[in-house]
Amino acid sequence: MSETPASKVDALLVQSVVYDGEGYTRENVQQMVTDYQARHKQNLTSLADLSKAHDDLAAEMTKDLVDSKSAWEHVKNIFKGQKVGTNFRGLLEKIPLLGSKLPDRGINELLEEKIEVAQRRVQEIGNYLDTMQQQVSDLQTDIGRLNKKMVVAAMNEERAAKFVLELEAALKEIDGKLEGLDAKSAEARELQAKRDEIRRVIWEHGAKLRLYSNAEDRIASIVKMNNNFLEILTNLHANMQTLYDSGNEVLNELQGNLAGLASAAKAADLTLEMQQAMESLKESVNKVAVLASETSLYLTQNVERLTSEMKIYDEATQKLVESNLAAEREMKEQRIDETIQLARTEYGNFEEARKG
Amino acid sequence: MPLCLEGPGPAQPSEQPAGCLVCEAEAADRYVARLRAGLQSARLNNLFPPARLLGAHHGFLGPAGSEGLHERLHLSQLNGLPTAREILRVKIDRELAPAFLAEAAERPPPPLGTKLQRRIAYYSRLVQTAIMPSDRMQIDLRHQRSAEGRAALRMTIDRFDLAGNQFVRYTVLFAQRDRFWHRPHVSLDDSDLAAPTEAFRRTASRLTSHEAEVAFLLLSEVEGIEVEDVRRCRVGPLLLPGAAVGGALEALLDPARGPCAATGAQPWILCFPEDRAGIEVAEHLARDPLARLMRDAVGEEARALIDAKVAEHGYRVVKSRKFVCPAPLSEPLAALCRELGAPSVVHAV
Repeated sequence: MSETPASKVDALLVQSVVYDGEGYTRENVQQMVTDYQARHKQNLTSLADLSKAHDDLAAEMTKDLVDSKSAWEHVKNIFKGQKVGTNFRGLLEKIPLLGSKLPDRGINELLEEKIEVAQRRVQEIGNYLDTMQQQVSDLQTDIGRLNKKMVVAAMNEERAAKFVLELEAALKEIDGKLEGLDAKSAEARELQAKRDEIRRVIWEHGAKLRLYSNAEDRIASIVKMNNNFLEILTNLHANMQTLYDSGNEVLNELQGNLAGLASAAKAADLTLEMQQAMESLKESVNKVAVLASETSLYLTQNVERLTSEMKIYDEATQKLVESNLAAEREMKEQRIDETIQLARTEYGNFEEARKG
Repeated sequence: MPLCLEGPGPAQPSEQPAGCLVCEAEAADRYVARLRAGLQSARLNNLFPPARLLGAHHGFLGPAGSEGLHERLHLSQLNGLPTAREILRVKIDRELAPAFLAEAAERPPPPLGTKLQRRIAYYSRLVQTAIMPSDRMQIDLRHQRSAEGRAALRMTIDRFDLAGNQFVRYTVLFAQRDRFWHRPHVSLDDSDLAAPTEAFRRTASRLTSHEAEVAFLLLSEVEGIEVEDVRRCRVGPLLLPGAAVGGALEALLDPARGPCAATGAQPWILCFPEDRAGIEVAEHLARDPLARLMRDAVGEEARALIDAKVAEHGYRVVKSRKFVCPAPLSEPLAALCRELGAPSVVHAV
């Protein structure tokens, strides 16, 4: 015995469609997008700060060193016989409390400061590397979690689309039946009531369809941005690890120079050996300054790139929010035709994908 | 001759900075524990860098102290103590810690055992601990005699001396004469707080990288200052087997044939030298078995110059050294000091 249209419709209307995973709402999907945007912006800020720190390092390394060199320039010039009188007076000014000028800071004190500045920055890079390593690991976990969420949203979207299309078929069948009936007959009234009920259920599951469709798109955009950050962070980590290692090597050199210089300072305050040590030290200091500048440049370039990508991301999200709001207005007006069209398109896509 | 450390791990030449020894893993932790025990047993008075802060500072070295963040410990070949970079690392970490922890608090806590989690644990411990300042100058007013036109001051300088790779404290007693008060080196306010001018701070900082007698002479050259007493008290060296310290002492440090051989204890000697130049010192005294007075170490011509300065300023110099070592070594070391004509305090751990 074949099933009557009325019993098929009844079965559809009482059918409960189960959606997997957590229940999405427009608010919690939006909140998730907002949270990720904030997190990515924070990441960009810390990269920008790091870039500035390296700029500062390059400046700090060369600051004061010019002044401390001048004493050696005076000595060198005296030995070369260049403007001996002027250079001798200049040299005297460098000796504490003999000249009217503020005495130079001790060469050891100055160099200790340089080493401390360089070591501080290298340690800061080390700290940042630890944080970054954790961020990479967190991002990888997060991307896996989001991908699962995205699959669940896609499956739910498919379920909703399939159900809406089944409801649409039932609606068409009822409309066909109604054409041959007296509109005021009891049967017609019953069918009209069922038609209204079907429309309500289409509206209800159409909302779900749109929600899962939007959630899938939004999660996909978050995953894309996360993947972007992951790539940058992985590259940055490798790059900064190299800089960290190089920085440590330079610091070792610097330390060796300083120990030699400090011993020389004990033997005599002004010797030409110290000048040589100073030159060698200058080279090490320059290496640190160059490394710092390179890191800063690398960071600046990447922060700029990520910032521009964030803008695109923001714009895409904004468009999604606007289309979502417009869709909701339409739903409120119960314009279900487009919902059915959406269901048809989405389900068609799934079917096509399955065949493919 | 390189120092011999207990179980030093093989170090790659590229990873070992010049003049450094590398101590790895458990050997590094044992080294730190030994050093801290030595500092604690030294019973240092307040003329030395504070033992409590020294112990705390060194406690953050090595794998255990750094929560496994630093698997190696670099030691100076010069004196067997942790290198300046290791010491500076702790100081900088302590300064970086508050901002790092504040930032970390804004993120979800990292999983246990990750490097970030260990860094947070290390920093959390570090911010709660006072450590050694690597460069600090404090000036206190001892008394002010307006009638005599003098202000008597005490200057204490704590620093990490890079040349010697060791912590050192200078204590300088000096007076500032009245006629310099209109442009004083050290300004005094109504509450008797003393603050050095930047020029004086820089000068004192430069001159106190030398031994006490030299610092006394150089500071005495600063107009308006009358130096009464300069003491320099240092922490280190830590003598280990293989240290080039001369026959008898080297024999004591021999792990195979020295006094520690029978006990299985690792031989080591931690030194705390003190040198002083002061007008209250009655006579020149060389009581340091490992160092001579400057006047005994220089040539005739230089000694004549020094003697002239001694006569001009009326100061005398005394040098001494106390030691800390494992118990089996203490009596033979004390006997050796007596034999060398420099009886010294030897504490056993």
